[in-house]
Amino acid sequence: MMHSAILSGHYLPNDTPIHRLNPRAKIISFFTLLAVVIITRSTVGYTALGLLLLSLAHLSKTGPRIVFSGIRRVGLFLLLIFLMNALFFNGDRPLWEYAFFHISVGGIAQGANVALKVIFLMALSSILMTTTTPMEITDTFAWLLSPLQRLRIPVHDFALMISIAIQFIPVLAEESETIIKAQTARAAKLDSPKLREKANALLPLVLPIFISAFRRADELALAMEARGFRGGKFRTRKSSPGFTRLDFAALTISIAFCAAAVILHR
Amino acid sequence: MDIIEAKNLFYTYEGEASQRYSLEGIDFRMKAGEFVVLLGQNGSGKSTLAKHFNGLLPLQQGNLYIAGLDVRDPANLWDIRRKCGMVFQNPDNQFISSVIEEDIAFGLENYDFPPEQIAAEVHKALALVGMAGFEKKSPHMLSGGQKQRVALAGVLAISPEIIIFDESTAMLDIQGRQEILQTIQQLHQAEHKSIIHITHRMEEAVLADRIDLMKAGRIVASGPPRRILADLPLLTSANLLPPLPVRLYEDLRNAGIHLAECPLTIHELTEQLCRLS
Amino acid sequence: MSIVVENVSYRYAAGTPLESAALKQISFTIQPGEFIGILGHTGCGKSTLIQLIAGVLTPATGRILLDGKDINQRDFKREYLRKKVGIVFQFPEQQLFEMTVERDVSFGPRQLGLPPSEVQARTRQAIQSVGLDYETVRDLSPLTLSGGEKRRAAIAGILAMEPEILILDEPIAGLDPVTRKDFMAFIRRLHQEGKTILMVSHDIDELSAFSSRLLVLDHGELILDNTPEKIFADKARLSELRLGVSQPKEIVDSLREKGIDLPSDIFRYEPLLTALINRFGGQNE
Repeated sequence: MMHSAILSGHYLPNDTPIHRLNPRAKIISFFTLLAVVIITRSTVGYTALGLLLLSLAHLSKTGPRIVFSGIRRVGLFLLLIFLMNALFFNGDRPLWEYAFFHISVGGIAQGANVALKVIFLMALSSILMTTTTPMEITDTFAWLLSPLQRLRIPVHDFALMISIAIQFIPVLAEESETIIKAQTARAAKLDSPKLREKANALLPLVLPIFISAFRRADELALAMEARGFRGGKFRTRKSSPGFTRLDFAALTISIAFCAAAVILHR
Repeated sequence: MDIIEAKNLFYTYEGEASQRYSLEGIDFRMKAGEFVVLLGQNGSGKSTLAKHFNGLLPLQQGNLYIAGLDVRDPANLWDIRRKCGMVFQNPDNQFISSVIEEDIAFGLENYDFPPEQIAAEVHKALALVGMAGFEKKSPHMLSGGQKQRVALAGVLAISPEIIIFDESTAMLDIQGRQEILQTIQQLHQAEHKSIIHITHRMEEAVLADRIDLMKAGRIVASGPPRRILADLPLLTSANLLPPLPVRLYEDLRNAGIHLAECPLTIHELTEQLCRLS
Repeated sequence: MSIVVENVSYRYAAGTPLESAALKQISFTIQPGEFIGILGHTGCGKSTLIQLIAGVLTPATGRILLDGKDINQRDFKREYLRKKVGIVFQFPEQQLFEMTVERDVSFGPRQLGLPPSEVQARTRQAIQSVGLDYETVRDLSPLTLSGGEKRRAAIAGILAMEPEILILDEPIAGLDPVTRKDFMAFIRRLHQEGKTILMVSHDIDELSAFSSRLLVLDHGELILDNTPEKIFADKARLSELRLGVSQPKEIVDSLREKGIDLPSDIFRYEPLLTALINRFGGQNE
């Protein structure tokens, strides 16, 4: 139970302008800002983006703690990205070189660039996830993909399937942990240095987790059917309310940022 | 007219090597508003039978009518599932959203409820199970009993007449079990729902209007708890154990101490013993 | 083989905003041959405690000593711990993974690096001791067994490692009544054969039927540690903890309130029956 909250950037009910945004406007803005994060390279760009994200975190009452807890989990990964770039990237203004190590101002800047992108991406996603319910996200994705419906692709079922799968991650993670502990107690060697043994050691973990995932999927499918679910049918959803001034403001700001980023980094 | 009428049901799971019947000639009738416990050891066919009542398993042989609707007719399937809801065993495997109100809305959306009514229906269903105010919470953060009550609210939202609890208390702790049993009794008494509760716990069976005892795909006995639970040879033959007061009653009788009537609860037992002295 | 739990604390989700205390300053000693029941509501920390004792979790502070040696010291052999302390998790059938029952049960002994003849002998013995027929089930896939049989097979996998201390987390949850009864009889037999048993449950009747000592946990703290007689004597304390007493004890208390004189320290079925026969026997003649 404890883990689920930490694992998923979980929806936090609140009444803030960000929560009130129309999910469609919110998700389009999200993708626009995602593009900004990818385009940005300069200090000015990152500063502006950083300030925007801080004000969004504040506005949505997500708070730095939750944004930070997500980043902390990938801390080691970030450090690794930074070091890889800083140590090996052959950039301008070299400071120190030895064999295949190159430390340069350009390399450090490159490392910082990539690490910042990851941090900003995570912050942006956790703001979206904490302010938007799973079904809002599902429906918006189905809406965005709806042109595919003409190709007879069951877009809504697909979006629902992905959404449910994501929600089962915490449950499965908790279960995996129990199975790891149970097999450890049966003297399973999970930290063997030999590759062959390592592969063998995974079997006692992977098989039970798979079996359990299939059993759960089976039960869930029954439960959904029992509640009248019919695949291939667009279910009635709260019809998406029209865009308000707030939605236009959000779209305008994110598109403006995107345009500025494109011009700045041309 | 009975709300459930089953006649001569046979069922066998595909691919089962022995081709053993999981249901073997089941006749089952239930009046609207009745509270029936299906009692029996694991594998006796309780769940298989119940999954016929909402069309989760196809009818292979026999006749079955739910609120007058013929289960054999595929056109009736969605109406039958609307009349007959089911709460499952594992509370974790029933949620389709990590926000409770969205999960409860799932059934309503499947049955094309007008979107503007949905919030009110969700609230009503949560209030019925004593979980009002949890609309925006995540089911993953709740206790086992609370999770099952939310799952029940998801079923209640579409106002079924029959609710089946398929071992819904089996994975809960004592507290969670009490919560669900209280909710069941309240639905039965105040909302006049027809209840089918599947269990192998005697203290839960005591609460029913009627117990149907299953063994190897057949209903071997059907009657009020007082008759079924006090019948030691019958319970033993179905591989079940009597409630503790019944066991004590029998053991005392074998020692030459005769109580006037077989008690089902501890309260009845102590009353009887007091009368002895 | 004794285990000393010394000032042990544990925290959930350490290092995140949701960090919270799971166990606070727990101390007690397990003597060889004891049958200890651990009681408490969901989330009280009882599962965490046994996992710490089995060495699959590491305490935040405090020590767990197996025959005087700290099991979390770097130089402590993990394999020694695995041989001495076995743990059966809740729903242990979920850990089955091999193609045959024999392969699955022998997994632990093989991991311990025992010679093949020893592995085979232990596997056979473990499968038979849980009441399955070795020749019938050895080549079956564990997935084809019934629910109760799967659980037996999973427990055989632990017993094949021949632990001296056996820890069980809700071992009979979800089983039907007759299987439950057989299982409890089986666990009692293991105890009589000399194993130390540590059993977690939220069902006070199951626990008090065999335990010689009960530990009651509440909100991560060890609140009570005593014989069932002593613990059941303080009903007010128990109801404060939202816990009841065993059914036989409830019957005795209720009768005593009604003025029927029975010994107040009865909490199991057989002594209750004897006392009632002594009290009421002969009246009907």
